[in-house]
Amino acid sequence: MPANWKRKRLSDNPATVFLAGGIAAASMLVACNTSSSPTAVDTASANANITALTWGDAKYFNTQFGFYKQDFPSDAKQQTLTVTIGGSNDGEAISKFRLALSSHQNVPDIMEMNYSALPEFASQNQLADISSYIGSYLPAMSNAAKTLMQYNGKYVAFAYEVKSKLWYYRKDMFAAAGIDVTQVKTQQDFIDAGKKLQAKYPKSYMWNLAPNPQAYILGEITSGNGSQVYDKSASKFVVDTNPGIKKAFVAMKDLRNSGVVDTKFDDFTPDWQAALADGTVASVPIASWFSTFLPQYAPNLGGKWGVTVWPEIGGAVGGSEAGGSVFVIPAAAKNKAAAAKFMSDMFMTTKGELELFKAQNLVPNVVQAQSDPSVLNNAYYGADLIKAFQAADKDYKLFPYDPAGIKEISILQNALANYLSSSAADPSTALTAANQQMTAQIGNPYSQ
Amino acid sequence: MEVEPSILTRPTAREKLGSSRLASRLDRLYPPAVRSWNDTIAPYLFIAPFLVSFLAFFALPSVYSVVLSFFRYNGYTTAHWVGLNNYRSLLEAPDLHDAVVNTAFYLFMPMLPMLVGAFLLALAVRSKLSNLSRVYKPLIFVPQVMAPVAAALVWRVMLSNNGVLNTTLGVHVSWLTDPAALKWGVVLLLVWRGLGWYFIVFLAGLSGVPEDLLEAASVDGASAGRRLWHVIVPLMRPTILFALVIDTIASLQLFTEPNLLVGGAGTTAGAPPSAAPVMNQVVTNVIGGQFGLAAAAGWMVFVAIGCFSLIQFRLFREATQ
Repeated sequence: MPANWKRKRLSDNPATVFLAGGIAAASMLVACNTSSSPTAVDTASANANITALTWGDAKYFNTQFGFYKQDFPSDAKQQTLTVTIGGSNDGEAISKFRLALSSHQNVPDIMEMNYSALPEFASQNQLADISSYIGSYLPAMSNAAKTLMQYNGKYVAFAYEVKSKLWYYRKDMFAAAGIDVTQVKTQQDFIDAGKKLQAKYPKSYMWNLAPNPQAYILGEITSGNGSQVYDKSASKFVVDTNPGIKKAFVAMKDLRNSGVVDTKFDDFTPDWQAALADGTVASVPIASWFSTFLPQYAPNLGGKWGVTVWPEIGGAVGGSEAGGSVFVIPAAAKNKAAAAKFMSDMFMTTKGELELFKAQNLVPNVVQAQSDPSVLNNAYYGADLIKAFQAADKDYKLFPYDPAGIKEISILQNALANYLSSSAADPSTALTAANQQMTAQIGNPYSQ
Repeated sequence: MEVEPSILTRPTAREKLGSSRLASRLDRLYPPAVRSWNDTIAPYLFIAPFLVSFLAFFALPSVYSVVLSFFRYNGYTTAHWVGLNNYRSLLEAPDLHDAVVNTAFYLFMPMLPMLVGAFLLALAVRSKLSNLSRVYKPLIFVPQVMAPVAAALVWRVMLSNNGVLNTTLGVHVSWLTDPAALKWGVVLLLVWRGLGWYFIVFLAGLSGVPEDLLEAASVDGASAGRRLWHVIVPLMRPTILFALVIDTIASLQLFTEPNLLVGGAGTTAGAPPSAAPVMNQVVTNVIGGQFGLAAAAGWMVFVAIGCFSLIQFRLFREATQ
């Protein structure tokens, strides 16, 4: 036997190497998966460590929990809160949530998401029915909040921001130009008001719509004009035939061509911020959350910006932006009762909502809180903000999102960008392509 | 002639001891069977960390993603077999056609200014004319150190309508919104960021060019241009190939720069179809919970990278031969 037989045997059997590696890898994977799968045990509120999954920053959750401990000590007892940041945006956090549901590991007690993502999880029964937790709190809520909390008639979410459609405008400039916003009711009125504005301020615009406008603008219009992406009864996508979507596309192109809308810059650009401060953009139809941004961009214009409801643009009466922002409790969450109590106390009571208004300038969804002097006498907008918010509440509507809503919005937004940057007046080509893409890539949103 | 035994045929320390007392004592303390087992298992233990992590985090997920590309799957419910439909629907989608054109633009347009510029900078810094190379090297490399997100946000300000570029050049180009200008803004950012990286690559390559060879060429009367073209460039060919392959892979996997620069910063809006890269097909499908489509798009990008790399290797091998 040669002296090097042992080494030869090793090198002659590479399969052994792979076998050993495979066994080691398999062992590791098995070890990773041996922890017990979570059970939906609904523990008592005391001593619970509530877990939350969000995106961006944990400070909002921590602030809310701080108020909860301070204002509702008997409910909070010895509870703690652990916040996980799922990424820099909602899409990344949703991916993390899917991973948690897939692995049955680290399923949070509270998940923050936009309403556009909610149907995917609600339709798969991944969200807890919160009806039993919120019964006594519900009557205090606004119409918009109640609408936002439901999916198919079942309460599955806590409303955070309802994102009502509000129109912010420069009161001083409009007054000087002789524009009465109460008389601006249609899209044509809006364009006519723009012409009046430009007669007085030639370098000012009524809005800004770049060739690739933010997805929320399309959502704000389509949520109020009866648009629909998928017809469940006919089991097919109807983007190419739905009149609402077509109207929204055409409206945005008409506004861009009207001359009263700036077409060179998009929202959340340095140009936009400067334009809001220097009067280049004298009005912005947008959503309620904008109230927290405007004072940052134009700090010296307090009292000069008014707020009212949108005129009818693209045939939309009322509506909302991407639904709104909500908190859900997963069906597999361990501390459902504790999480629901925390959410109910902070987002469904006057005391909790007023704390959040003071800390985050979050417009309250509890009706009684909306008439609190601190809310009525807003330092920047005066009483305009809450009055417009309440007026928008009457026509609050949600876009009929389906379980593939995120993907559909992405395709629809690309179709809009293609249409707006083309010379075509009719959006049919872009809408037909979008419909074909949805059909090919999504199939049936309800059987994902 | 006596040949030195290789590591495989060389006798071990124990074998050299033969049947001495020391050997028998060693055999009692450390029986041959145990030694044999240890010799067998030791190499596997040494490579196990890499092998396990490679299998767990690369090989198995890769195989899984191939399988996944034939399914419709949202990550946590039942997967549905769809055959080649994911690939077919991606290939038929107009978004993909636009994205391929955009990605090709991001690959080829910055390539020449970036690689040639980096090469010339490396030559300049290495030349005897430059006596402040310690200052230039970090300065040129600084953009590469900056996080892509931060760089994109800074360029977003610079390319705004009233930004530095328009003001300096006295033009009114909407770099961030005009569909005709969007991609050029991204190219500017890519060249700015990539220049420092390829500068370092070429500088390392130039250090491998023997000085005596250049001096010999100089003594033979070769001008600076001839020394560059006939001595430096041929010797730098492997480095240039490396730079080309790396640049190709990076360009085909491009995502951050176009989406942050011309997409909606602070929002979830990505780059519009006229500027979106191919990787958007992967990312938007992951975010949308279409993991089968995302996997299919990922494998299409992988095949494209493989093809481009093969072509580049072949072209350079032929040029070298």
